[in-house]
Amino acid sequence: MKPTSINCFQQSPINLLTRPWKRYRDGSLFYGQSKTGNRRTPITTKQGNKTLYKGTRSSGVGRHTRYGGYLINWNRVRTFVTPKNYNTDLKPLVSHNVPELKHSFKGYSQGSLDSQLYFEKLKEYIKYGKVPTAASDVNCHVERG
Amino acid sequence: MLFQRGLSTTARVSARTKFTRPKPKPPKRQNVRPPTQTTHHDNTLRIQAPIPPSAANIQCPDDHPLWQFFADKKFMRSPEELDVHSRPWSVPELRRKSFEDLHSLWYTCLKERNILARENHLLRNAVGGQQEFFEQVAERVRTTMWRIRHVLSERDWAFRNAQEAFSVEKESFVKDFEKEFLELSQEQDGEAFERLSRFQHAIFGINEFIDENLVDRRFVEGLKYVATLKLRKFASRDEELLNFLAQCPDQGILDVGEAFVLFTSEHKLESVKEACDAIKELRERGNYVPRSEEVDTVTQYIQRLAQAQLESPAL
Amino acid sequence: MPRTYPYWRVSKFRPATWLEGAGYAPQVFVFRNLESGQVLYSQFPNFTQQQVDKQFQRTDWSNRKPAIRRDIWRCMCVVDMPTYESGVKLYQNLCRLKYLRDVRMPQEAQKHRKLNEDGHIWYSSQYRPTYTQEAVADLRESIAKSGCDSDITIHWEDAWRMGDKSKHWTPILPGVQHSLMSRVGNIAREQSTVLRELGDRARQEFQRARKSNQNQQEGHMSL
Repeated sequence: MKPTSINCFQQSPINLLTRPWKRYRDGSLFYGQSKTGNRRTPITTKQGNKTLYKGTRSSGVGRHTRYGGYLINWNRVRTFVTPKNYNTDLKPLVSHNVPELKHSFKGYSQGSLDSQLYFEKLKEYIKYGKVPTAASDVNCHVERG
Repeated sequence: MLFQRGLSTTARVSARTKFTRPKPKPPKRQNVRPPTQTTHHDNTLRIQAPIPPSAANIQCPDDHPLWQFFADKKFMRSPEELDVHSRPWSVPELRRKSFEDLHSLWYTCLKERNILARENHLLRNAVGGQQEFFEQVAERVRTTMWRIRHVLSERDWAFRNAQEAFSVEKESFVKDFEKEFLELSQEQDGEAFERLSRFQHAIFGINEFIDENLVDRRFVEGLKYVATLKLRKFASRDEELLNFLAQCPDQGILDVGEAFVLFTSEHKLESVKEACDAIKELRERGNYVPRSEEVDTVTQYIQRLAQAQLESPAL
Repeated sequence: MPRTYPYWRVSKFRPATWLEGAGYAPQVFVFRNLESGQVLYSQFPNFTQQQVDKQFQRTDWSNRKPAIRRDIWRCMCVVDMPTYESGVKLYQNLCRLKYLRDVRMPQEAQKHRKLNEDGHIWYSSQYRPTYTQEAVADLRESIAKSGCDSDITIHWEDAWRMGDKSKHWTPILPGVQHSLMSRVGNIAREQSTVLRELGDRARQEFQRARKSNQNQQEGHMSL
C-alpha cells in the first residue's frame, strides 16, 4: 500500500488552499467535478464485485464453530424485561378530549436538564415528601416542569 | 453341460431312467421349526376417502399466551372499532410518571403494536382491506414509545448534570437544610425527623430500611453528619447535651462508632441522652474506629442491626 | 428399551417374535414429513432408507421420494396394539394400502383427492396435505379390517389431525381409544424420549395383560 503523503495532514496555508490535492497536467489546480467521480466516500452494499459482502452489522447473536455448530452469545440476544409491578391502567394512547399539558421552564435556561431545577425539586421533596403536584388537577394545563 | 463335464458319476447315479425305481418319499420330519412370520395383510382392504383434520378437536384455553396478539380475542378489528381519534402521550405528561409506570406503559405499547402489526400484515397480504388506519394508530403508539425513551434519557441527563453541579452546590444545600431543620420547634419534631430521613436518603443514600443499604464512604460521612445534626437539635433543649457537644472535637461527632450509637437512638431527648452516656463510656474505654476500617465496621453494624430486626419484628 | 439395536437391525421387516425378543412394544409408528406432507410407516420408533425405498415405489414430481433427514420428520401418531401379531399385521395392512394407492389403483386414489386447476394434486409450495389425510383414512381402514377392535390406543401428536371423531372414528371403530402425546417442552428435540416412554409404558401394559390372561387360563385349568 502506498503510504499517505504527510502533506495531507499538515495545516499550512498553502496546503489548505490546495485542498483538492489534484492538478491538471499543466500544473493548475483542479477544483471542479472530475470524470471519475468522487472516490473518497465509503462504498455501499451495491458496489464492489460479487465477493463483497458489506453487511449491515445487524443480526447474528453468536458465532459459527468449526464443526458446523453455532454458539449463541446470550449477551447479544434481545430480551424484553417485564415490569415488576405491571400497571395495566395505563393505555398506549390518550383521549383527544384531554388537552396536552405544557411545561414552562421559566427561569431555568436548560429546561428539563437544568441542575438548578433538579435541586429545587430535591428541596421540595425533602420538605414535603411525595405530594401530588399542581398538574394532578385535570384543569391545570401549564406546569413549572 | 454340468452333468456331462464334472459330476459324471453323480449324474449317472441320480438320473432317473425308465429302469430306475422311484425313491421312497422321505419320512415326515418331526422337529420342523414353525414359520416365524405368520401374519399377512388383509385382502379386503379398500381405498377410502381421506379424513380431513378438524379444528373442533382443539380447545384453546382462555389464558393462552398467544391471545396477547389479539384485541378482545377477535381475529381482526374493523376500522370503526379502532381508536382513531386518540393522541399519543405528550412528553410533559410522561415526565410526571414514575419509572415503573413508564416501563409498564412501554410494555403495553409494545403489545398493542404487536396486535396492530399482525392485523396490518394480514390486511395487506391475505385479507385485503383498509389498513391505513391500523398503520396510523401504530405510528401513534410508536410516538408514545419514543417519547418514553426520550423522557428517560432526559431524566438521566438531568441527574448527571445535577451530579456535576452538586459538588459546588452541596455546601449551601446542606446548610439551608440545616438551618431549616434546627429552626423547627419542639412541637414539629415529627415532621422535622421525617424531613431528616428524606434528606439523608437523597444526599447520603441512607435508606430507612436498614437491610437495603449499601455501605460506602458517602454512607459513613452521612452517618457522622446526621449524628451531629441530631445532637445539635437536642442540645438546644438540654444543658447537659450542650456541654457534651462543646467537649467534642470540632463541635461534632468524628468517630463512626459514636455516630452509629447516636444514629440508631430514637428521636427523643431521653434516648439521645442515653446514647451520649454510652458514647462517654466508649471514650473512657478508648474505643475508636480507625478511618481505614470505618466502612467494614459499619457494614458489620448494619448486618447485626438487620439481623436483630429480623429476629424481633415487633420492635 | 432393554437393549439398543444398531441401525441396520431395524432396517428390514421384522416378525412379531423378533419384536418381542428385542424388547419392543406392540406398536406401529406413523411419521409425517413436514415439508411434503408424505407419511412413512414403521415398526420401530425410528426409520431407515430401506423403509423409504419400500414405501415410495412410484415416485414422480408430485410424490417425491423423501429424504430421511431427521429434522423434517415428525411422529404423527403411535398405535398401541393388543398383541405383537396384530401390530405386525397392522403394519402390513398400512404398507399394503400404500401400495394400492401408489401402484395398483392410482386412479381410484386420485378420485378422492382435491385437485388444483391444472388437475394435479393440490399443493402449496411442496406441501400436499392430502397425503397425511389419506394416511389417517388408511389407518382407520387397516384397523377396521384387521379384525381386532378392542385394546387399541392411538397416541396422536395433534388432535387436529385425527379428524372429526364422532363422524369418522366412533361409528366405525368404537373400541379404539385416542390420546394425546405429551406436548410439554421442546417436543421436536425430545421426540425420541417421548416415543421411548410411550414404548416402555405399552410394553409394561402388554406384559401385565398377558400375565392376567395366563392367570385366568390357569384358573380355568384348575377348575
